[in-house]
Amino acid sequence: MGLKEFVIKKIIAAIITIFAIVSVNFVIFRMAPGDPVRMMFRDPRISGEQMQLIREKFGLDKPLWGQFIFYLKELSHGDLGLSFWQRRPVREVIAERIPQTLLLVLTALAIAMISGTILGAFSGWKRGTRVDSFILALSLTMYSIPAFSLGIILLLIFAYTLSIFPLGGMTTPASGLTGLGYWKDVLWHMCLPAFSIVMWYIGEYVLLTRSSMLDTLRKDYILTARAKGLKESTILINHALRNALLPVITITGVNIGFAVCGVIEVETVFSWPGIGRLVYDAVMKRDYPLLQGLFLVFAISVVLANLVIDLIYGYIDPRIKVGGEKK
Amino acid sequence: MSKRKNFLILSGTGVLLVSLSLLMVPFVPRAVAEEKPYGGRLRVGLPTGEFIENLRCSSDWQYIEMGCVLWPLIYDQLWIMGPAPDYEALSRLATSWESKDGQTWTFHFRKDATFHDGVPVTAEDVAFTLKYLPKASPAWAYPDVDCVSISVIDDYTVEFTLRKKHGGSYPPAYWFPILPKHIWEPYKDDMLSFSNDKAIGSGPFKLKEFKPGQYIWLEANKDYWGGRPYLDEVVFKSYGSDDALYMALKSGKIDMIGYDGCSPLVVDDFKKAKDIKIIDSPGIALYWLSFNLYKDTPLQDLNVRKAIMYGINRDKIIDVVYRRYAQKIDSFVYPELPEHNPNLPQYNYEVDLANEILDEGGYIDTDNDGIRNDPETGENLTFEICVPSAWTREIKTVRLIKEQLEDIGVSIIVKVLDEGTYFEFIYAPKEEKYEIALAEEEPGPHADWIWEFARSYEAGGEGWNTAYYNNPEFDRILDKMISETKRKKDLYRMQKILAEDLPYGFLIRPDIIDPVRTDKLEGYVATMGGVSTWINPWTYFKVHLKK
Repeated sequence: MGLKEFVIKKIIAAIITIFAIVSVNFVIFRMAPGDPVRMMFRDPRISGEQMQLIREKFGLDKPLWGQFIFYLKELSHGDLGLSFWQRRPVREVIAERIPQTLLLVLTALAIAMISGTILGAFSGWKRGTRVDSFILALSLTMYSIPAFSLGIILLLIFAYTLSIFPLGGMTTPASGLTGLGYWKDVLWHMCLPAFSIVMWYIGEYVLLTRSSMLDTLRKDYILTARAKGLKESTILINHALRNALLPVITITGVNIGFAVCGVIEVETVFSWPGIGRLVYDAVMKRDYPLLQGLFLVFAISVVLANLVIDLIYGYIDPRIKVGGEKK
Repeated sequence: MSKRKNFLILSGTGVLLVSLSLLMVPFVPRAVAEEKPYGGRLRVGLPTGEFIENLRCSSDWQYIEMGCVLWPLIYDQLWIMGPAPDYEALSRLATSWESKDGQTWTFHFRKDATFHDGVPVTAEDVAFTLKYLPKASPAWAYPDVDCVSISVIDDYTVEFTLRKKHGGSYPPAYWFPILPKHIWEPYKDDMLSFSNDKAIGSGPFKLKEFKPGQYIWLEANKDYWGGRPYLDEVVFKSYGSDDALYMALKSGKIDMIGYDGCSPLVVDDFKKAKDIKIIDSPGIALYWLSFNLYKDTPLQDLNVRKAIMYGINRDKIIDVVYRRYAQKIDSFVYPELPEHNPNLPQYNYEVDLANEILDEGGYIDTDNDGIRNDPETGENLTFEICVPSAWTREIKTVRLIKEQLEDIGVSIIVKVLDEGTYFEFIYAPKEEKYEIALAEEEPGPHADWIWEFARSYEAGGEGWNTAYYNNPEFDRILDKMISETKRKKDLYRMQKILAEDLPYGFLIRPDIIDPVRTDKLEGYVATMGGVSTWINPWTYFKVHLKK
C-alpha cells in the first residue's frame, strides 16, 4: 500500500467516523426527556400556537428523519443552524469560545507534555530509586485528584489566602485594559486554571513515559549501546527516549483533539469563558443545534488529530512507514 | 438716642444673633449630611449559572438572576414598586395615571426623559413596547399588559384598554421595560432576533461593556431625568462556584452578592470578617409541595395530602437545612402583608394525627412491609417527589421529608431532575410525569399572577396550575378579586380555600442573608428577598461612597 492510498483510506475512514458521530448525536439529544420549545421559554403559559410557530421556525415540526435530512442539507452548506437558546448562528457562538479554550488548554498541554515527558523519562531511567518513587507517587496523586477539588484548593491558597492570583475569569472586570496590558492580565488570570490542567495531564505523561521507558530499556539495542561504551546520556536521549516517545505522541494527538472540547470542570471553577462551559449550558438548555454543532467540531478535531498523528508516526518510527519503502 | 447707645443696641443685637446662630450650629450640619458623595464603583458577584450570555429581551430577563437585576437599571419603567415596608407604586416615566373602570387606562409621561442615545422618550415608545414586547415571549405576556387597543393621545399621553379589568392598589404594566421604538422597530415581529448589543434604554445606568459570561460594566447615566445615581459605576462579575464568590467578598474583590446572598452555613465566617455587615431579610421565595391531582394516585384523596402535611416536621427542616434562617408559611401571601389571612388551618407536625387520618381513610399496611397500602388497589403508598438538581439545599429538604414520612407509613422516592426537565414535568400535570414536586416561586408583594397557580384548566388556568386544581368557586372569587380595588375579603377567602383543599402544601420561606462590604460604600437597601432582587433595584440607586 502506497502513501497516497494510505492517506486516502485514512481520510475516508475519518469522514465515515464523522458522519456516524453526527447521526448518533442527532438521535441521542432528541431521545433525552424534555421538549426544547418549552425549555426555550421556561414559561408554562406559552400557547400551542406560539409553540407551533417556533417549531416551524426551527424545523422541529418535521418528523425525525425529515429533521435529519434538513440538518444534513444545512450542514453541506457549512451552516450549523441557529442556536435555540442564544438565537444567533451556532457557528458564531462556537467561534467566540474556541480561542479562549485553545489558549488555556494548549498552553497547559504543552507545559504538561514537556515537563511530564522529562520527569517520566528520568523516573524510568532511575527506576527503583527514591526519586522514582517520589515522582511516581506525586503523579499518581495529581492524576487522581478531581480537577474541581484541585481548583478550589488552588483558589483558596493562591487567590484568597496569598492574594497572588485572581479568583476566576479571563480578565479583570471593567479594567478597560488594552494591548500588552490586556494580554498580561489574561496571562495572570490563566495561571491557576492552566496549572490545574497541567497537574492533571502531567500525571498522565509521567506514567506513560515512565512505563514506555521501562519497556524500551529492556530492549537488546540498549544493551548493545551500553556494550559499545556509549555515554549514559546518549543512550537515554538518542536510544531510549526516542523510542519511548511513540505512545506519548499518540496520547498528545488525542489530547489536542480533546483540547477543543474544553475542560468543563476547570472552566467552571475558574469561570473561564470557554467551550467546556458552553457544552454544559447547551445540555441544560436542550439547545440541539448548538449541541450538534459542538459535537461536530469535537468529532472533527479528534478525528483530524488522530489522522495527523497517524501520518507523523511514519517520520518518527520508520518501521511504521506504510508497508515499508517501495523497492 | 445717642450714637453710642445705638451702637450698643446694635452690637448687643449682633452678639445675640451670633450666639443664637452658634447655638444652631449642631443642627445645621444635619442638612449638609444629607448630601451624599457621588462616585465610586459597586462590584457585585453572581454565580456563573445565573449570568446571561447576551442582551436579548428573552425570558432570561425574567428567570435568570442576572437578567432580572440588570434590565431595571438600564431601562425605565412606567412606575416601580417602592422599597419595604410599604412597597407603594412610585412614579417613573409616568407622572400620573387614571382609570374609571379599571379596564381603560390613561398614563401621562414626563417630558424630560431621554434614551441613552439622546432621543427623547415619548408616548410612541410606550405604545410600541406595550404592543410588541408581550408578543416577543410569553415571559412578557401578563394580563396587566394584555391590551385590546392602545392609542397615543399626544406625545406624552397613552390610553390603552386591557382585555380584563385590572383592580388592586397598583396600576397595570408592572415590571415592564420601555424600549426605544427607533431602535427596535425593524425587529418588532421577532424581538428576540435583535441582539441588543448596546442596550439603549432610558434608565439611571448605561451599558459600558458586556463580556458574555464574564462581566457587565454599567456607568451612571448623568443625564437621567431623576438626577444621576450616586455611584459612578456598577460591575457585575460571574464566579464559578459559591466558594469563589465568598472568597471574593471576603477579600474585597466584590462588595455584595447579586441575588441570593450567602448560605447560612457561612454566616458566622462573614460575621467575623472585617468591614462586612450581615443584612438578614425575610425571603421573597416561597417553597411548597405541588400535588398532581390529575394523576390517578391516592394523592387525589384530601386525607392523604393532609396526612403528608401533618407528617412533615418543618421546624426540623428549618433547623437542619436552613440553620434557623427560614420561616414556616401557610399561604401564597407573605405573613407581614395586610392581605395575609391570619386564621388559616395550620398543618403542624403531628404524627399521631397523620396516622389517625390515614387509618380512618383505610390506608392500612396490609402486607407488613412498613408502608401503608391503598385500600382500592392494594398498592403501597409510595410517591415520587421531583426536585431540580441545582437546588442542592432543597434536595436535603426532600430527603428529610422522605425520612419523616416513613413514620406515617408513606414511602417517598426522591427524583432529582435537571431544571429544564423538572419544569416541563411540573407544568404538564396531565402528562402524568410527576406525582409530587417541591416547587418555588417569588411572587413578591401584592402579586396577582401567583393565584393563576390555582385557576382551573376549564377557566383557562392551563400553564401555571401545576396541581391541576379544579374549583369553580375559587375561579369565581379569583376573577372578582382581580377586577376589584378592595380585595382583602376575597383574598382571605381564597387563601382559606387553598389551605383546606391542599392542592399545594405550603412549607417554608428561607431568609436571605446578605453579607455586604462597608469599607467604602454604604446605603444598601433591604426589602423582602434582600438587597438585590427583581423587585429591589433600590440598592443600586441608593448605595454611595462613605464620607
